[in-house]
Amino acid sequence: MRNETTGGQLDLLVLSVLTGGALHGYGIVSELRRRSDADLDLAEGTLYPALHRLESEGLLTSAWSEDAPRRRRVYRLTKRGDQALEGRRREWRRFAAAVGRVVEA
Amino acid sequence: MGSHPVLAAYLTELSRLLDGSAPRRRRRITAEIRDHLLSEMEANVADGRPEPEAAAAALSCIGSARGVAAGFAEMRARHAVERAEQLTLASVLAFGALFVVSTQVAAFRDQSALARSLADPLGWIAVQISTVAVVIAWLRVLRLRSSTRASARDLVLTLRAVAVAAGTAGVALGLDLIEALGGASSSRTAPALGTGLAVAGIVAMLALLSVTFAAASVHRLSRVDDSRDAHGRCALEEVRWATTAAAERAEALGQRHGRLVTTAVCAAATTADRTLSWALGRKWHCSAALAAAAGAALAVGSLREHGLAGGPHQALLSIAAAGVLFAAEAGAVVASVYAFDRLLRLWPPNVPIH
Repeated sequence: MRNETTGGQLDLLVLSVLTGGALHGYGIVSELRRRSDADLDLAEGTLYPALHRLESEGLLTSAWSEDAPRRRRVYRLTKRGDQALEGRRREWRRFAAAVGRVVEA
Repeated sequence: MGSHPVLAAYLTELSRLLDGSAPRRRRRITAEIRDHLLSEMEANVADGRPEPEAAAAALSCIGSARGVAAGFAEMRARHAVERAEQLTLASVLAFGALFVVSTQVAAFRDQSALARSLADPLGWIAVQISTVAVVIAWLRVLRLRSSTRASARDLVLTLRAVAVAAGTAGVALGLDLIEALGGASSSRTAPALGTGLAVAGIVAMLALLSVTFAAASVHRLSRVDDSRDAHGRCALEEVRWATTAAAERAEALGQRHGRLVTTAVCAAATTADRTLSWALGRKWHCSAALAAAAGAALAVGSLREHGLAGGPHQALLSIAAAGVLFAAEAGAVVASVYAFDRLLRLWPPNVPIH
């Protein structure tokens, strides 16, 4: 699927992927591919500005991890991020249902 | 693998394009991107690709260094514009409060040279201009917040509105400050006004500084952002967006608290929407009507203040004086609309919104 499929929904996708636990940037992309059976192929360069923005909004927190072969910045969902994810999920369901009703009619 | 020349060149280019970021942040970004590229490359090598091909594939996945830098530049520029807008809003509110106190509160009105200076016609015009500009900027900032990506053009238009508001409030406050410093006043209320003026002046100065920083951030964005979204929105589109957003929120509220709220607010939003569409097709008529209304208000105010106590000829003189003021006001409104239209893109070129 083309990159623009994620257009406007990147925040929702990132927050959803991080509910499974803390991940670094490449881990987020890999998890996104895995969960979507590689149908969602993100423009990876757009991920990092989004991660930094979500962190500045207090929805994510990050720290360096020394466990890996090299230093990695690992992102984790905050409590506020969890609440925001719930809200965005509701919006998405409403939007998808509305589009579905129009397209399938 | 860690020092693959193609990746190293990419990271050097990225670091160069991230100018304007704090060195610490720049190091963090390049370290994260480096880790990402190496992870991707390792995965490609594990899949059996040769190293140069694996590196090229990793770079292709992450996109151009310019694109990555543009994402960060946009985030920084957006924050800078929001900060400038917040400070400008504070300075315009402080300026407006001083103006209201100087003109409406009896204890201050005409009690000192400073109060008279704050309440002069220049102050009144400055209050109007800065208020309109700050409202336009505020609506644009709200709209930017709801969009996933803001173009340099969007940010430039928002920043122009912020700059007009901050500049107008700053110049007016500066003139009043010079007046205050020039003439010592023995009035009891002068120190309070002076303190208020000093605080408002400091906030305006900070707002102007933040506008300068934001302008630099937006300029950096325009240098790295190769997307050509030159679509500048007109201010009334922002107002329409705000009414639509309000209607959506009302709908959500109505689902919880009953249909009455939804119906009333949706009706109000729809009416506002239709009125704006109607006004867009008649912008100069509306400007003239606005000026006429202001002039009529002045005439009525003058008549109420002086009444017919001095006889009919005195009343006629008052109305004539109000008429002169009205003409000045009308000229100022139309000139402001023209200047705002040129500077802030108040109206779409020809096509009204429906």
